Amino acid sequence: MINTLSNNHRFVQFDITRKCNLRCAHCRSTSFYEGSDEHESIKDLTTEEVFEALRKLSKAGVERIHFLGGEPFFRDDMLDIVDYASSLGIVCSINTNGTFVTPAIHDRLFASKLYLLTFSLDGATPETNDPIRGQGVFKLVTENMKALDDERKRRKQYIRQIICTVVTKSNAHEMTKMMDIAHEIGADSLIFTPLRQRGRAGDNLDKLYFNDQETFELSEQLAQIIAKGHPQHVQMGLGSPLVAEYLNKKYGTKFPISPGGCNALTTKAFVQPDGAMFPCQELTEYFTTRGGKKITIPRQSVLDSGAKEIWESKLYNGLLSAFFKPDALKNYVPCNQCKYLGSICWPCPIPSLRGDRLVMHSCMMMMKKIKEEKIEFTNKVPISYQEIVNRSSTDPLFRDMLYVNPKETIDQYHYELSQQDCDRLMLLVETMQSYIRKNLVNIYESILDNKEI
Amino acid sequence: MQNLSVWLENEATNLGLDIEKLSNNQKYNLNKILFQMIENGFRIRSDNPDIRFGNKSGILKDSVLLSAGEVELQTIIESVEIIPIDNCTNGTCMYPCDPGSGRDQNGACTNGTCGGGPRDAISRSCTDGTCTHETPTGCTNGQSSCSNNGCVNSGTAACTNNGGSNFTCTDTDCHNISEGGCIDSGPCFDVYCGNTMGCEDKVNACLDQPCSNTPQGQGLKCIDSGNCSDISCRNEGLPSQQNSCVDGLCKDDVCCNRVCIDGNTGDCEDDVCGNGRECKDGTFSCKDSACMNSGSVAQESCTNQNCVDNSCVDFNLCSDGSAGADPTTCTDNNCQNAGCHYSIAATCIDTWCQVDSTEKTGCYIPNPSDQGCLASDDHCDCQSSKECIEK
Repeated sequence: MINTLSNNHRFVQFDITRKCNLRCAHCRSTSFYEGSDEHESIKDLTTEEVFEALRKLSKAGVERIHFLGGEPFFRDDMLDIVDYASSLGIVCSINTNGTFVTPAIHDRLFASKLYLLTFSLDGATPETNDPIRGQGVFKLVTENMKALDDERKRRKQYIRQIICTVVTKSNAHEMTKMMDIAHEIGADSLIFTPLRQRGRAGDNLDKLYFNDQETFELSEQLAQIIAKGHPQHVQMGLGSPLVAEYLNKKYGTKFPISPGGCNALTTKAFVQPDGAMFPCQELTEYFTTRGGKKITIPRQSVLDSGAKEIWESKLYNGLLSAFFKPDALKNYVPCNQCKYLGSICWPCPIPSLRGDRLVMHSCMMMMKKIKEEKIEFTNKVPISYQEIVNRSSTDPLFRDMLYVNPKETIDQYHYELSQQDCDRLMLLVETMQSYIRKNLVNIYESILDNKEI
Repeated sequence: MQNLSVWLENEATNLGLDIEKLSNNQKYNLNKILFQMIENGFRIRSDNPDIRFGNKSGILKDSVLLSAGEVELQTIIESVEIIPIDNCTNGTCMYPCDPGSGRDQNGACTNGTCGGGPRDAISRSCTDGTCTHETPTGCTNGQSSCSNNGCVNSGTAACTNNGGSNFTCTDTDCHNISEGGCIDSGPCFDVYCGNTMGCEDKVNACLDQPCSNTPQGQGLKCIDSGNCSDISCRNEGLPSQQNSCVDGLCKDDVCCNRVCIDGNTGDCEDDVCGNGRECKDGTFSCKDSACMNSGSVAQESCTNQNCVDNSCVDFNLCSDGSAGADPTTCTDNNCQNAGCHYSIAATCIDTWCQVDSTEKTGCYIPNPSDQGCLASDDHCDCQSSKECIEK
C-alpha cells in the first residue's frame, strides 16, 4: 500500500503544447496529436488555464514538472509558466528542440528559476542529425547551447543544460563523436536513450531501429572510452541495470545502478496539452487485460476534476495496486529471476496485465554474457548510503519500510552496503526513531487538543 | 515485516499514550504528521539534484497541504521541528548508540543479555522481560503475543492464531496488526491497513480507508457472498488472474466491471463504469459521470442510446457541422471537428488549422533565420516559423 499521506515528491511530465516547428523522424508527440481525429481535438490550454492546472497539480503534491511538447518554447508564455510553477513550489525543467533557445531569450531565461533544459540532438554532424530533426537544426542547436554555456559562465548563474540523444541505426556510428561535441558546447550531461517504437518512429523503423545486440555493442564501445577518462559526463539509458553492472565490472566504469522503470502513479503522471491527466505517456487511452477486456483510462482534465482527485481516485489506486502487486511481472523473463526486479527495476507492467509472457532480450543476453565470461555476479545490488537516502526522499513505500525495518528492507531489496554505509544508515534511522519517540507525546497531545481536525 | 502505523502504535503504547482515545481522523492526522516528519528527515539529507536545486533556489516548500482542514494540521506539523541533521563532524557520522553501554555490533540480542542491557545496532531498546529482538521465529498459531520486532512470520500464511483478542501480528503479509490481522472477526481500525490477505471475514468489518484487498496470494479476494463493503475493494486477483467480481452483488466503487462475471449484469453501478466496454447490460444505461464511450474510440462514438455524460466527444469527423442524435452527426458541445488533420485538407474547418497541403505537415521551417516558410508553401507569408505555424 502506498503511503498517500506524505508529499511523495510527485513528478509530472506535461506536454505543454502540441505545436512544434520540427517534424522529427522518430517523434512521439506531434505524430500522436496529429495522428487521429480524436487526438486532433486536443488543444493547448491558455496561459490562465495552465496556471489553474499548475495550482491543481501543486495541490496534489507535485513538486517537479518536466515540460515537453511539441516544442515548449513555441509558447511565448513558457517562462511565465515556469515562473508561476516556481512560485507554487514546483521545480521545472524543459525538453526543447533548442531552436528557440537563442541569446534573445537569455535575459528572460536567467530571470526564471528554471532548473534544467534538455536539448534534443541526434547526431554529431549536420549530415546525421538534420535528416532526423530537420535541415539547419544541428547548427542552430549547437550554437544555442554554446551561447547558453558562455552566458551562464558570464553571469555565474547555473542553469543545467543536457543533451538527450536517441540512438538509432542512422546515428549510432557517431556516438563517440557526440561525446566530444557535447563537451565542446558545454553540456552538463549527455544521455543516450533507446528508440521507442511508437509515434513516427514506428513508421521509420527500417531506417532507425537499432537492435539489442547493436545497442549493447555500442554500450561496450562507449564504456571503454569513458573508462579511459573522457571528460564528458554520460548517462547510459541503453539497457537494464544488468548492463550497467556488467560494464562497471568489465571496464571499470561507474555507471549508477539507480532506480528505473515504471513509476507511474506512485510518483509520476502525465498531462496532455489540454490538461488531461494520465498515469503515463504510454497509458493515455486503454489497455487490454488478460481476459481480452479493454480498460479505458478516462480522459479527465485536471482543470475540471482536480489533479489530486484524479491521482487519488479509486481507479488510479486500483491501477496502482494492479501495477505493483508482487506478482505483477511474474511472466517476464528473466525478470522473474533477476535480483534487480523490485529493488530498482520495474519494467512497464502493462504487457503483464495483458497476460503477455515477455522476454527481455537485452537482459537475457546480458545474463548469458555474465555467465560465459565468468563475471563475478552475486545476488546483491551494490548501493551506497546516499543512494538509499535519495530513494527514501522520493519513494514513500520504500521510505516507510526502511524507517521501521531498516535491516529487513535492505535484505528484501537485495541491497549490499559497505559496513560503513550500513552503520551510517542504521544510525540515521535510529536517530530519526529516537527523535520521533521524543516528540510523540507532544504531537499526540496537540492532536488531542485540536480534537477533530 | 512491521509497518509504520504499527510501529507508531507500539511506540505510543510504550509511552503510555492511548491511541484508542483518538478518533479515526485524529489517528489519520497523527500518522500523517509522523510520515511527514520521516519524509522531511530523509529529504533534508538527500542530494537528489532537483531537490537540492529546489531547496537552494527557495522553490520547494517544506510541505504541501493535501486536503480540507489541513491548515490546523499544518500548524501542528510546523510546530514540530524537522528531524535535525546530526552535528556530524567526521565523515561517517559514527556515534555509539549508547555511550554508557556501547553498541552490539552484530545485532544479536539474546534473552540472557537483553533485559535492560545494551542496545543493539538498530537501536531496538530491549527493555522488556522477553527480548524484543530475538531471532525471527514466526508467529505460531495460537500464540497470544508476537511482539518481537524481528518476528516476520516467514510462513506464507498470515497470523491465523486466534489465541486472544489482543494479540499482535507483525508478519509481512498481515497489515492489520493492531487487531490481529484481517482474518479476525473484529474490526480493523488502522489507517494503513492493507488487508492483503483478503477480507474473508463474513462480517465485512474492514473499516480502514485504503483497504484494497490486493492479492498477496491467489484466490484471496472478496469472495464473501454478501456485500464487499470496504471502500476500495477491487475484487481482483482470482486464481485465473482475472479481475473478476464473483460476489453476487458487484457494487464496489472501483470495480471497473472489467469482468463482472456474476450473474447480475443488469446494473452497473460503479462510478467509473466506462460503458461501451464491459457493461453488457442490455439497457446501456450508463449513469456514471465519467462515461467516455471509450469502447468506440476513433470509431463510432456514442452508440448507446442513453449517453448522458457531458464529456462525450463524438469522435466522428463531424465535418458537416450539423446536429442530430445518431452516430453520423455531432451532437456534443465539445466537438471541435476532430477531422481537421493536416493531411485531410478538405475537411479542415477549424479556424486555427489553415495548412492547406496534403503533402507537408505544416510550415516546415527548422531554421528561423530564414524568416519565412518553405518555398513550396504558397500560403505562408509569415515572418517567422513560429508565426507561420500559428497561422
